[in-house]
Amino acid sequence: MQVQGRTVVQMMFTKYYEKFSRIIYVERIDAREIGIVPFSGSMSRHMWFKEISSFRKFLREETPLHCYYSVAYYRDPSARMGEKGWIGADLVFDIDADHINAPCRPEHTPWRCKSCKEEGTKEVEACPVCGGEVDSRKWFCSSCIKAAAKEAVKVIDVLREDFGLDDIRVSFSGNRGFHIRAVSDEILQLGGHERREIGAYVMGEGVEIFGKRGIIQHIRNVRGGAWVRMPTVRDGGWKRRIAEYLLRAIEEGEIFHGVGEELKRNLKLALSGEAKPHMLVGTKALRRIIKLAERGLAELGGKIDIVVTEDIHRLIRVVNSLHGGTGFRVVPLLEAEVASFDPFSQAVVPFNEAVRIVVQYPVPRFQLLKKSYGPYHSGEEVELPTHAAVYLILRGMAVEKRESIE
Amino acid sequence: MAANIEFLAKYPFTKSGVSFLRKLKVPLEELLQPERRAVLNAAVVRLEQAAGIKPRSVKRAVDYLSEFLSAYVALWMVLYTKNRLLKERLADYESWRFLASSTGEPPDVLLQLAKEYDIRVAREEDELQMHFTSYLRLTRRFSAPEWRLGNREPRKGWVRISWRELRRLLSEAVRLWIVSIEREVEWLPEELRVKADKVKEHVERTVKAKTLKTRGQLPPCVEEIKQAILRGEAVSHQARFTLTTYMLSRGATVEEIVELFTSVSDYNPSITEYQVMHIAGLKGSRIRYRPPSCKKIKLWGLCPIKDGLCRFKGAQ
Repeated sequence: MQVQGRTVVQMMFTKYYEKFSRIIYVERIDAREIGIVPFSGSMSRHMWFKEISSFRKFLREETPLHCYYSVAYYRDPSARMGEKGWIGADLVFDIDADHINAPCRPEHTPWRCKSCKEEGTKEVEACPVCGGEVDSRKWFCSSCIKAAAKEAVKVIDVLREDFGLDDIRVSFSGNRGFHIRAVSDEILQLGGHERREIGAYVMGEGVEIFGKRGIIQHIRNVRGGAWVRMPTVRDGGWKRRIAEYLLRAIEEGEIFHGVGEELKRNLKLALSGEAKPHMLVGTKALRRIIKLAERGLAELGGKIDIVVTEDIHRLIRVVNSLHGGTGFRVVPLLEAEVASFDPFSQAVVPFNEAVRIVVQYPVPRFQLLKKSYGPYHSGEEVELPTHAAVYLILRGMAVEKRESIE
Repeated sequence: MAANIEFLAKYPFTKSGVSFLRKLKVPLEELLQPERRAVLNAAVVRLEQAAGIKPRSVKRAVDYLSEFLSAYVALWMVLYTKNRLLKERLADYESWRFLASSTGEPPDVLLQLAKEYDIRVAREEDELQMHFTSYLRLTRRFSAPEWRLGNREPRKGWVRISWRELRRLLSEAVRLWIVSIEREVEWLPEELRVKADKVKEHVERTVKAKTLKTRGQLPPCVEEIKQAILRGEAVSHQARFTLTTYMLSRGATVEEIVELFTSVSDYNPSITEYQVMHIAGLKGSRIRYRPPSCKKIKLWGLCPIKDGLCRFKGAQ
């Protein structure tokens, strides 16, 4: 039954915060700025709570659609931006499946033709019926999240191994990616520029593959080739990663047409640190090795949103709050859980009361809590458990069927 | 190792230097006494060298104490002028002076100097490492690829560096130290005031911003870089590259672009000219570089538009 003025989304969020606000946690909340987006109206920033209990009470009473906290610590979090007294900030990384071209994407890209209104759920460039322009929506599946999780694992490895940062907090963003937050006094006061450089490092940006200071270090040219120093697994930073990548490529038989067996053997010994890394390599073989190393760098570079990392005032989602674009929970994760995390079962908060919705946009088949739904066509009216209905409503794919109140 | 006066004369802008100065408590008026004139003269020479009026030299003409004091008097003269450009010039000069003075210093002295600037370095036998937080702070302005963290081998937060590189990084610490001084000097003896104003005028005259002949308005990112350069700020390599390629694409000549760079504190006419000509495809590889894409500019942190509403978006 519908209560006038309150949507099913609001009701679900209210019930969630009434029941689960005790698991909401923001470390050092007294030094953080809090921001919320209410169900109606625009974002409110510069909020401050002295204790977590008062914030939990606020959530129970106000039920925001989105809630955030600042990665920065301030002397006066409720003051205006320039007057807060910035003390420092955690180092954050945002990984979004949207920035990763997962191979499954064409399989679930809903679209509708702007001219003839034909629609479908698999990616098309133009309308297959009339050839007209189509309006596409983004959709994410478990494989997309797996791809994002892989990136998160890479970022964590770099933070630990290269930067020696051990206190790392990871959470599922509540939508299609992960947030990684490194907490340490050492990085607290880094400026935006330094954070950008760390982000660029994680991405592999600016890494020279071949050259005087390159991963494959050019020593001197000789007729038909060059003396080079190969990276080894005993090196640090990107050298180690590329050495491991090239070794894997040799072991998997990927290296290379036109490279002799003897060179492969020597290369393997050099890369694994069992022989001197200095080698004489022919021009053709060297070109192939460089190309493979470049591919390795592109694959191994973490796909992060660098704008988030460099922002020393950034707001990020409160852990265990609900995401206003999906209704999913922002789930804190142990590092070991990241790779196998499935938000479609682990981030869904079960609310099983049936709700009728009207589909507004073609919905591909999807799973929530191990149960399959869809595909649905526009105009279709379906009855779904609250958590599934809320998911489609918040994704902009459906609206709640409102019964008239007489 | 306690800092002696010889050390302080070489490295005045250090923590030890500041505390020594505090203990001395020399009133400025006392420097006007005939027996202290050497300090004033040395300070003026120092400032004139910083401003490019006289050629640079680290040759010591006075005793250690006067040498030490002259460094601070030169700084006070700059602070009195409230001229940012002159402060940048002095910072750049003192950084150069540090580099020249520290040639051949034994490792222990260099490690002591690192402590003076709160730079985290660790030495294990012959290997020298710097913590990445110090490294990133000090290499911020360095444009050569070898300084990029990606071309280093950080392990557990530590970056291996050579002793030569440590000297270079320490000299940058000196520059940052001076640039970050916000103190104002309200009073100077008449004689020094006149000298300071003269040097300031010289710097302003030589770096007078020239309006480039460009058609229409510049994109906000390029405009911001141009303004920073006109203010005499030492902007990043990527920012300089962006400005140069964009100006070239808008028909500016090499001379016009070189002239624009005369205001930066580390300006060197021959290097600037070569680099602009290189980007224009007139020297070196003969490749004419195109302005970077919006994506690159964002990645380099040079895009000032946060809401994505840039009317120049994608225009090159």
